[in-house]
Amino acid sequence: MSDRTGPASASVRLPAHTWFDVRRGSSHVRTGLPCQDAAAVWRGRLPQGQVTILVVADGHGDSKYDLSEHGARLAVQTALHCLRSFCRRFNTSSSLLYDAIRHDFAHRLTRQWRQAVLRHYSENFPQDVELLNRPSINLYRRYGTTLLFSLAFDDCLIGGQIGDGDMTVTHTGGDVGRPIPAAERLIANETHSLISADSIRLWRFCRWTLHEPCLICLSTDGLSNGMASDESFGDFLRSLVRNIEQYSFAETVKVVPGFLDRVSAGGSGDDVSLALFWQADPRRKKKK
Amino acid sequence: MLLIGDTVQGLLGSRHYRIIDRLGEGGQGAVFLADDGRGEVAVKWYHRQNAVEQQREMIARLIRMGPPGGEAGRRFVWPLDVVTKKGDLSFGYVMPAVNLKSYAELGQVWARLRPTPGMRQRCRISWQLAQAYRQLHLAGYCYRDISMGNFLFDPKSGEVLIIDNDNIGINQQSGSRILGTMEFMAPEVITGRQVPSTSTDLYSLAVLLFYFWIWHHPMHGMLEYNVRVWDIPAKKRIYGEMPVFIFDPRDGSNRLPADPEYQTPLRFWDACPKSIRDLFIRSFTDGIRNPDRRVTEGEWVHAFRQLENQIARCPHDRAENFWQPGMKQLQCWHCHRRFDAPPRFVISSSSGLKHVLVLPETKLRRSELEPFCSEESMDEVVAEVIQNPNNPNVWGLRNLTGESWQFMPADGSEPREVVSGRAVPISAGHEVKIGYQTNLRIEV
Amino acid sequence: MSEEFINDGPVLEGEITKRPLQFFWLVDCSGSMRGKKIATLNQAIREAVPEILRALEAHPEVQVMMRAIAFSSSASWHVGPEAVKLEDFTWPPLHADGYTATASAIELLLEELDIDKMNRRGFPPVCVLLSDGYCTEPEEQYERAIRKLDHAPWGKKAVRLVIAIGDGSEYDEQALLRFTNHPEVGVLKANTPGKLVEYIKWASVTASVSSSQSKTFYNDDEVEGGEGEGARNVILASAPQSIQIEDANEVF
Ligand SMILES: [Zn+2]
Repeated sequence: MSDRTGPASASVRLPAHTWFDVRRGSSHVRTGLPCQDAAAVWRGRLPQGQVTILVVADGHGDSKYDLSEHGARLAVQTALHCLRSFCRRFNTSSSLLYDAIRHDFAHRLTRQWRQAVLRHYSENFPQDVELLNRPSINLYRRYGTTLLFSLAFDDCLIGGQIGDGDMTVTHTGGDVGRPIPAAERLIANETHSLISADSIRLWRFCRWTLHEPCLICLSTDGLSNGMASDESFGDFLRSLVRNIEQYSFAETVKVVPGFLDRVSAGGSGDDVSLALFWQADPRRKKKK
Repeated sequence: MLLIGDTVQGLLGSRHYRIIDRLGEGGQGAVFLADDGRGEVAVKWYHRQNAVEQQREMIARLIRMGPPGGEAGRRFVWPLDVVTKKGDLSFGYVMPAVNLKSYAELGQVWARLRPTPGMRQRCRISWQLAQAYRQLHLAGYCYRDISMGNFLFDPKSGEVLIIDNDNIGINQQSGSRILGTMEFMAPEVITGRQVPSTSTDLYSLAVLLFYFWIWHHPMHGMLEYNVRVWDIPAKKRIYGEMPVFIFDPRDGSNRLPADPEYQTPLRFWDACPKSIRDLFIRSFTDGIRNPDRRVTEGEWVHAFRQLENQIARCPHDRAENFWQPGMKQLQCWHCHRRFDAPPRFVISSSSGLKHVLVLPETKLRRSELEPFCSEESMDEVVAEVIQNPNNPNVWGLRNLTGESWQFMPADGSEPREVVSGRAVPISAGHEVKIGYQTNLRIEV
Repeated sequence: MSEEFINDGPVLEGEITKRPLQFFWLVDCSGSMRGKKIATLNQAIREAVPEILRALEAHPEVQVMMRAIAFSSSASWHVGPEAVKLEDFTWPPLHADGYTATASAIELLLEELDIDKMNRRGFPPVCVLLSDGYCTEPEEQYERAIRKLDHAPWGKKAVRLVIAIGDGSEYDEQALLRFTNHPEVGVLKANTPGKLVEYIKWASVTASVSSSQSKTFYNDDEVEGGEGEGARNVILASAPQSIQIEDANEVF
């Protein structure tokens, strides 16, 4: 497993065809704010076979949410842990796993995330006995974050999301699927989060059949907010797939960090995280 | 694997369907929009592992037998054709296309993607849902997989649709494949003592209605909260082996924990009218172990239809409040201010006593005046509240039945005839005789 | 895009832009504004533009787009309906004449706040209404326009501020108050030219900066079945507290 919140480091060795990066936003650099995004990739064998998990989180920033960089990192770690245990416990079919995730993931994750937050707070602010003894929303709020994950098996993807951020599946033909459609009712920079009241009911989940090859891509809103339109965002995704096919996955991801920095500097100003999984299809290649 | 642009072949009448768009995906398969040359239809395409022969036979039989009859039967989005694709081992079925712009799933309301239905719409949605299952059961079917995912409603109009009807079986006889989502299964199905039937459907219906009103699972209390390893055996225990209702008045072992994430159900339970709370309590106490004590669809229909007519808006903030018989005043759940109950129509008929609040928008449907009318005509408006055009301060109840009423003024003066199209003035103590058996009194 | 053929190696595409913040001026230029009032107003808006630019230097990821509706006997676009980038924006002087068609102005605004016309990723829009008199259109029309504004998704999210010009007896404070969705600010009463300039600058700068600041977290405790009242999006810094000096001989 690998996850990080800071700039890319060369020592992290990622499993084949997965990649992620977390770029500190231009406005964060300007104002001295830390990077408040976090991301992680995990790939391994579970009862279901080879599973690839991508997670990204976007800490809220702003002075009210001053510990949100930690909130995002803890959310990513907790999600990875929770998803792998769900895979192990609900392993008879993907339908059963999907049902379990839809019904139980949100509140199981929220509780574990809160416990992790509490641990972090007690380690870093042991003197704040009053709040630690009676943890309230005021404590958790400081760690506020969004969260977005995808679990990819051979032939399907199960995903979940609270708050903004984008999950896309881009095929070689150029069509871009959105397993979780954009929330039309949330406009003007408004989002849900792990600290929203009644947050467990604000989650959205999806199951999506994969017909490979395709690129699964999770990103925080710093990316799509810096693009001129949904169409431009699609252009970016299609150019990723085209380059992977023309050159290679490894060659393509080398140029992605620079592009993400340009999106932040010339567009959103925000932190930008991107996690990728290129699902090439061995079966289909054999047929050819 | 089905892709946009593919064509699938129908088995009945060998029609072709061209796949236009992808609408969504569930645990069993993906749903597509398709064109059959005459218009748009929906195609559900099974995931490979769910595309078993038994499923195909079941759908073919459902198509042969047809949907349940009547108004309520039309709320089932019924299979029309079985489809296959060359070189593909999976299969699917065709059904009418649903306008997904106006219909919502409960999960979408929770995630604030769709407006929350108002109380009146909630009542209407609830009785329509129960009525649809009643009709299905009368036709000899059982649904076997009632859950949040196959129930759609229009939050504005209160109309209901039931989708994923491919798991419907013949009561007491079709295959023993255990289907459905454990959250919604009757305990005896989870423990394997029974196969799904109309009586286990009743349990699932109660769980679904509970989710719809309380936004929570009826067994998710301390017992669930304290489970450290949430897995299949744990779910079997909570839902099947030792289910305890979170609001069981006698057994407090599964109360809601003090966690903030568990406060919404408490708030909604308090706002839920007593008549409905009582039905939930029966469903999830006696009804757990004794299937004969389960609340029937008819009881739900009756209770929610009553409530639909007993909603008064707070004059201060327009919040919807439930009136219960005997109340002279209501206390708004939102602003906590008190306000006077509106006048009521007290309707006595062969099916007992009914109360309908008199509001400017009140309309009486045929079923309210004639309890044994046909299902087709039950929703027909037969009387409405109007303002006297010559004196807007005087309100009246206009007769739209097509037949005359007999009006007996409160002061004991001569009874008068109210021909269809005319209105009885609304004031305290007036009585109206409607048909042979129905009497309507105005109570203030 | 032609880079793709020149460069050797992967090249990524996709147009990058800043996110828009739509700014609307709704300016009363009825006959009663004639003379000094309209001159001060023209001057104040001209002065406000560079101040907004300066204030937003700290937020280079925001692209402010300006538009203006002028209303007298009817309402029409003074700048627009095509929005102009703040850095390219100049204020064409307004001339005063006619009645006060406030409701028509709001209706015109509503056309552009349409959910299909606005960019979903945009910041909450800013709408500043400047008026010195009673709306001369039927009260129901004004009420209807305000109600529509309160219910339109972008109307709800917008930062709506009102500056009343002149003597309190000449305008209808209650009616103007209905336009703003920041009751804590209320109607900004510019009874001197100095205050008018100050308020125009404050309103336009504060609203733009606040609107472009970080996200809001949907956390509603709304009325059951309600469509999200009070889902206000932006918190404003408090309005300038002007020192109470009686300069009563200043004719306005
Ligand atoms: Zn009230």
